[in-house]
Amino acid sequence: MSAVQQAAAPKPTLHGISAPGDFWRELRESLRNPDFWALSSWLDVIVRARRSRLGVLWLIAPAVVYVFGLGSFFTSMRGATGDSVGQYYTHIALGALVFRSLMSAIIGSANVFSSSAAFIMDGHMRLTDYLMQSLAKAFFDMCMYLPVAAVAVWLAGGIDPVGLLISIPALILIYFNALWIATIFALAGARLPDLGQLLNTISVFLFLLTPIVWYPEMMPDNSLRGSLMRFNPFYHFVDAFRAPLVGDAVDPISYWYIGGMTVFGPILATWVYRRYARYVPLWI
Amino acid sequence: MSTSIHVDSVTLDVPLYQQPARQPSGWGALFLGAALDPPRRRLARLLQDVNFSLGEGDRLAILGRNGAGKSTLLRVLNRVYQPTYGSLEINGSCQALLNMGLGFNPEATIHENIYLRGVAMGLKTPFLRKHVPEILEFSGLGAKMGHRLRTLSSGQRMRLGFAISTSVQHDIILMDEWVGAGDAEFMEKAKERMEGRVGGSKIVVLASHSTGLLRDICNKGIVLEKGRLVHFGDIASALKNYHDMLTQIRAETPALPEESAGTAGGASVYGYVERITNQDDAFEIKGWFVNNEGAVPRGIAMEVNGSRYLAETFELQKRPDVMRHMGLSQDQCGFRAIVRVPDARSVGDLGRDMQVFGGDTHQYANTPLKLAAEVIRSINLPTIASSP
Repeated sequence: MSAVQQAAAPKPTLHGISAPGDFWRELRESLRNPDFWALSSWLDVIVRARRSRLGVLWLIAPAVVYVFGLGSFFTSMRGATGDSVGQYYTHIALGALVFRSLMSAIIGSANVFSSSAAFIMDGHMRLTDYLMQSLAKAFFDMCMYLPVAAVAVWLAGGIDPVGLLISIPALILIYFNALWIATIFALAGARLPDLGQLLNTISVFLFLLTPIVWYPEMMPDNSLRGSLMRFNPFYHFVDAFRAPLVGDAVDPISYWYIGGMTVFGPILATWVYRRYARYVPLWI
Repeated sequence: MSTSIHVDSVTLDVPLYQQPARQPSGWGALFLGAALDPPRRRLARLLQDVNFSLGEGDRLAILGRNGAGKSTLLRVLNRVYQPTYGSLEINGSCQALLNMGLGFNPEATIHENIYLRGVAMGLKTPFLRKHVPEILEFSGLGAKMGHRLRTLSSGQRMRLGFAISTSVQHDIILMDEWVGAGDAEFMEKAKERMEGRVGGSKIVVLASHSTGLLRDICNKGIVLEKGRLVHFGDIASALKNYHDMLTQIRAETPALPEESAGTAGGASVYGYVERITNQDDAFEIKGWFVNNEGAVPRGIAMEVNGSRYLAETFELQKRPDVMRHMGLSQDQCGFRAIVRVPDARSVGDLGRDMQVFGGDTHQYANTPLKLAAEVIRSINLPTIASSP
């Protein structure tokens, strides 16, 4: 409840209430009051499971198909790389885990405002809540990969314990980046309803462009395919998470790439949010 | 800090998307045009330079025709739309009762939905845990707690939404039409709850077409027309301004068929029965009524023990007091009607369930008029006492 100020300029001023725009303050409030976004995303997930008899098994099914289905299919095509089948499964499982989680955060965020239109129109205006909702859903999606990844790791005969320690900050970094990407895509998706469809379409392409079912070593550095792969941000996130776990070295470019995104992404998101968050109710 | 609302020259522009209207040359062109023509973007001004201030104890009526900007203004007050120009200051906790069926997850259980809706309103989980039994009890859905929401009827859903939305008292209540639907028993509870909430809040903003309701609840009024604030003042002056405006519009555009069809339903009549006297089976009913547009209806019917009796004679009378009270443009709003009820010999014989209806014609008189205290007393008198 601040003091009254008269609006001299055409810029709207609001007092005693929080106009959306201050990204970090609203994010802080969202994190402090997780009730709404945690509950609504959790309900969305369990409701999906509840509609069917096998329930949770269906949520895990895509992970099983990706890792063991695609995995055993490609084992025959992969040629001799010297890895065991278990190691190949681990490679796919960890890659797909990061990829699916990031991708579902981004695709989900593109429609998150329009699917929450009823809440927004009713005055629940802390938009960061909806962003957290799509991140939380992505996190649940990731959890569905964990049991499958655990089986793959067991088949491979264990995991690098130091890599396991590194993977946790790597995951936090990945979610931090997912947050700003989701912010920008959510605002863009509110304005351009086609964005969700577009992302869905290119996600297939990105999946194939990211070394999940194949190995980055298969793309030579100086080839067009190699530079295309390195241009793909998903490659760097997947690499930063997976390489330490399987005992490989992270591509040095990935450090620069992720470092740059972690610094400049949030700045961009803050600016975009301040500029456009207040238009969201009008767009949806 | 005391509760207040200050709206200072608020203007709201929104982008609208229009499909370019053009004459398609055939079916093919029609389909292609609908699919491929990009919508054109233009700015529409929904509110222009709206100013008013409210303090504690104010009950504001928002008057205006359809599309005048009533709901938009409520959304601005609810901080959904940010004003393009101007400033808005709201002190106090604010609750909007705009959409009761909002934000439910149809596949989740009723119990889960109470939490979902509650936290969406900003309530805390421990608070909700305490209030869930009360909400279930109020909505009468205690036995269905574990059922999925989609198994509920729309009426039950509405009851649940109402019970959750009104479970907390706020300083400011924003309402788009008076809330309430459902069966008679629930309506009674809902009415009581709403009156309690409205009475307990410091500021109420109510947009409605029902001038009678606004007259009963509000003490101030604003009139909107095409997004502009044309009047702000006490409720009687606002109603007067609104009715004058409607009269003028009616005079300029004679007999719009849709509008008269709307009032023929009779849902928009408001008035009082002030006196019922009888001579044998002929009952003389006196009172006044008015419809939402400030015009006076022409029909009276009475329902006694489930049978309907139409007025045999009907005449309008001058009521300057009502004209001032309701802010009407004319004083011919009193009525005197004679209704014959064959088996009744006294007012007490009409029974407690007796209702008088008003409407455009005797046949279409469907809206119950309110009964003045004296009338209620007289129909409650035991039959023996009044008939010698």
